[in-house]
Amino acid sequence: MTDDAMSHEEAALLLPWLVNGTLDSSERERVERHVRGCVTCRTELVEQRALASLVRDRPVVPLSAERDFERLRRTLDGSPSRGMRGLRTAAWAVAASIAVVAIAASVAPLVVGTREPVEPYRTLTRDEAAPMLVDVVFADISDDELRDLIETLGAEIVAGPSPRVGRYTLRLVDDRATDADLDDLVRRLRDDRRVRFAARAYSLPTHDGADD
Amino acid sequence: MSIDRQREHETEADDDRADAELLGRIRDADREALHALYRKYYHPLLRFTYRLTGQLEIAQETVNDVMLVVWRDAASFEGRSKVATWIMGIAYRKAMKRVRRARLWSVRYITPIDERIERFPSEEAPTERVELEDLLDRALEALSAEQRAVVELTYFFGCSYDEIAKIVGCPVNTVKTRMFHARAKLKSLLPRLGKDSSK
Repeated sequence: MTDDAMSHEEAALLLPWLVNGTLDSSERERVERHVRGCVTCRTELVEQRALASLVRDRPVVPLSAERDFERLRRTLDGSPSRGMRGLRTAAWAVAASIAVVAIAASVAPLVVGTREPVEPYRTLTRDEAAPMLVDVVFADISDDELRDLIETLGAEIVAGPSPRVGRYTLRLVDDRATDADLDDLVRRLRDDRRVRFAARAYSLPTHDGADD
Repeated sequence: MSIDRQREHETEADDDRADAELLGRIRDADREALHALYRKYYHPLLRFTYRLTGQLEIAQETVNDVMLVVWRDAASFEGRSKVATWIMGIAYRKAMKRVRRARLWSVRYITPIDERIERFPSEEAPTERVELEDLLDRALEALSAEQRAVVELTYFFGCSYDEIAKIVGCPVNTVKTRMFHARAKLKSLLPRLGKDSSK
């Protein structure tokens, strides 16, 4: 079968698996033979190798397995769950430390918009066209400082950090907060030298976490 | 087959045998075996579910959802795939359920995809690899979760297209075309891919 010529379309579809080395020997030989005679595929191969390298190098989230296993163990034991609130609180401190790492590693321009599915807070829906959320990216800040700052501002984290930029989404704890309160939160964040970026968020948290 | 590739296959086979042994003990309600399997798969699962859902907390919850299924349904594993493929398949279904639930909520709030793409730098191309990596994150966000899964499974987890088809539960040709469309989109968003990455 290795003598069969492979069409350009067929070979082009298989390039990612030529790159990751999982094609069987017969298929690999046929793709390689096509690539040797096809400029388009050779160019694409270079690009796919670069893409593979970038994807492989993307950071892994450095969380402790033991902490989450303990949570699973309690579920198996039928212990009362700490619930979503508890989980988020537990994740909060760890997430804060990740943000520092992410920020240190990132020199990217900041992205205002977000498409990430985020947590819902039904209390935020009174003005559905303008979610009561703020996106923020911190500069050099310790876990404790981050927690203190957000608490001082009367806010809490509902999402984040995003994978590389370390963007958090915040809400005001007070459910009666107005648009003016939120604008004030943005202003106060921007006034803090430890904040690199703060702006009203585009997207509303989306997952109610009630039926996990 | 090269010697390296053969060794890799042998290592994978040993690895799968070890996983199957743990799964056998889990079937007998052995908590220590569950703990061992959890430790082994926690970070790969967390990464995979995080890439699909985009939310750390949701990813953590999803990992535990997955391992709960492993605990309860270990007896249903019939050995028709590697244990890793079975577990990643559960993770994909659980994560996609989260993503779909989020979509229902967020469709009207999410910035339209074309608008996001316009925010990508188009004139001044980045020259540093770290900048390219950040652009990659943003480009990957522009893919569907289904496309992101295939990219991640191919290039981070090193899965064959057969394994990916089993994990995501679709025909092999769908995997190939899904990856093809993902590549085309990434290429349009990262026009200097392959030109800067070596720097």
